[in-house]
Amino acid sequence: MIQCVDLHFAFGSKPILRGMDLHVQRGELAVLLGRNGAGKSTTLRLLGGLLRPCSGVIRVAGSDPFGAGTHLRRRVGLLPDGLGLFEELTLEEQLTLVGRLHGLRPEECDTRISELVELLGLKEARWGKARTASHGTRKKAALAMTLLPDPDVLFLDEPFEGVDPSGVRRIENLFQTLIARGRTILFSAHDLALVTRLKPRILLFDADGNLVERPLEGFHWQDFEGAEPALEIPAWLGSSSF
Amino acid sequence: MARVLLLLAALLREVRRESEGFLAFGRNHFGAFALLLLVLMPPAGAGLQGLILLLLLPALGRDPLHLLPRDRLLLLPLDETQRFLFRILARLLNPLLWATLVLAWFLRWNPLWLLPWLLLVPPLLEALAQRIRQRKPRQRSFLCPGRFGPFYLQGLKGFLQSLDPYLGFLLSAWAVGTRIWGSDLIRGMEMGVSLLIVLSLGTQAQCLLGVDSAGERLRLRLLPLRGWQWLLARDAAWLTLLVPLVAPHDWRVGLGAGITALMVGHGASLCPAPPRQRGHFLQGPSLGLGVLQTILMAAAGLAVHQYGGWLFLPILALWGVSLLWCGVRLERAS
Repeated sequence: MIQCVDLHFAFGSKPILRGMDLHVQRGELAVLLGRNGAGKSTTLRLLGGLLRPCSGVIRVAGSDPFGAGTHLRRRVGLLPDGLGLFEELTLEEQLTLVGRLHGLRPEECDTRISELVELLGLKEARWGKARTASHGTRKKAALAMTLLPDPDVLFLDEPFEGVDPSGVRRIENLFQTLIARGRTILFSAHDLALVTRLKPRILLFDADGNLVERPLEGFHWQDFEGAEPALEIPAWLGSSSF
Repeated sequence: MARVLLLLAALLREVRRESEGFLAFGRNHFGAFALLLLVLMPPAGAGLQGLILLLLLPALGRDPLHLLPRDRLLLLPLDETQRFLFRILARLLNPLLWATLVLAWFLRWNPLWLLPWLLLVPPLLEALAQRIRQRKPRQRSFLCPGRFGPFYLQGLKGFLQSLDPYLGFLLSAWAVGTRIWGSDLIRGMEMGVSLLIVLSLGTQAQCLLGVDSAGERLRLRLLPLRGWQWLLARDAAWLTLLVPLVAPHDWRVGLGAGITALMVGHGASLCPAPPRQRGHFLQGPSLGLGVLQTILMAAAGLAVHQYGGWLFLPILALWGVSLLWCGVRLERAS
């Protein structure tokens, strides 16, 4: 379902991905882990067709996502790191806009919106503008926009970040149901306790920037850095008297 | 006071580095238009001249305070008086405020009388806009029918958040009023008025995607939306604003010039432009594109006036080509 072969990508002269290979099967739940700046968001944006790779091959549902046209946009859902919300529109308005552009009939669109709002606990935010919503609500709103057309493949950039525990629980249940229904999900995360609960396939950007697969058992946060980080806290911090 | 000065010095450094202040004047058609109006306007137009000088010209520049995040300002150790003083004094860092004062002096207005006005009106307008924005949205939304209806409406709302269409409205209403109350000033000048209205909205036609913030553009790229459809929805929203404004004057000239403005605007919209600021005039990507748009738009308007409506055919054909070509470029932009 998702395939990358010898993928290279750089922002200007700064290389981000160097010959990355990635294969994810249909119906699989996989997580991208790695330190900040390792290339998780860039990988998801490349897979979502927002960036053009410098070299290498990407196939999502059999097509190159960059410039694949509108047919792939219906099959692939991306929750980008920037969320992509219409700041001046209410949640209802943004979901309607997205649903209609995806070609949903007005009644079908309304039903799906009501169900998603209920599912993600967004009832109170439904008639509020995105600009005024809290971080967690914005994240859930962006997730609702991604889920609305019921895509086949989901690329989610830190879907749990900033979400309250009840919301996290709802999204976890949603993941399990979607996987059981044959959807493919690749997401990025930093919360290892949550990753352990979900039991996904672990894909880790190691200290050298290579994407490697790790077994869930015995996985430790030190795997991110490769070595014990220095924990020397400056003496002045926490010493001022008021 | 030392803290306020320290903060002002930091803000001045940011304003200088941004170097957008005076550029704003050239990147919006309104800059050239305001200059023309102020220098060449006959005495009958003094009312409009004054309105532009007092209300609109400072709004052309970006408010220097936008460079300082609101939350950061609240977190700094300043008391209420210091904060208020800073907000007022920060406006002095807007280069266009000084340009307005120079123009006022040139027009023999007293700059000392103008200064408090220029310092106080923008914060008052901003506070009013803030109040309007904080209104609770209604629990139902007006929706245009069809697949692209809500998208079209979103573009229309976005266009109405900048000052450009209001200048067009002001011009159109002023010309209608002058005609009704029998002044000879603009009799037989319908064509000129129509061109001026298109000019006032022209910068918006160069920023068709400027309606969308970076986040919104990201979302739109994720949707099953072809580039030409995206541009077409924006064109339709722009024409919705233009048509009622030119209709009381020479609508054929207005429409011909407007479609030509959009034709240039498609390409210009793909170039990076300064981000829009609510309640201000939009800024196009470059002065050169603005000049090109003005020349072509005026030429098209004059040609339609001179040779008649059949000229709409080639204009529409060129607009269609530009729509498709720029749509493909928009899809391939990464």
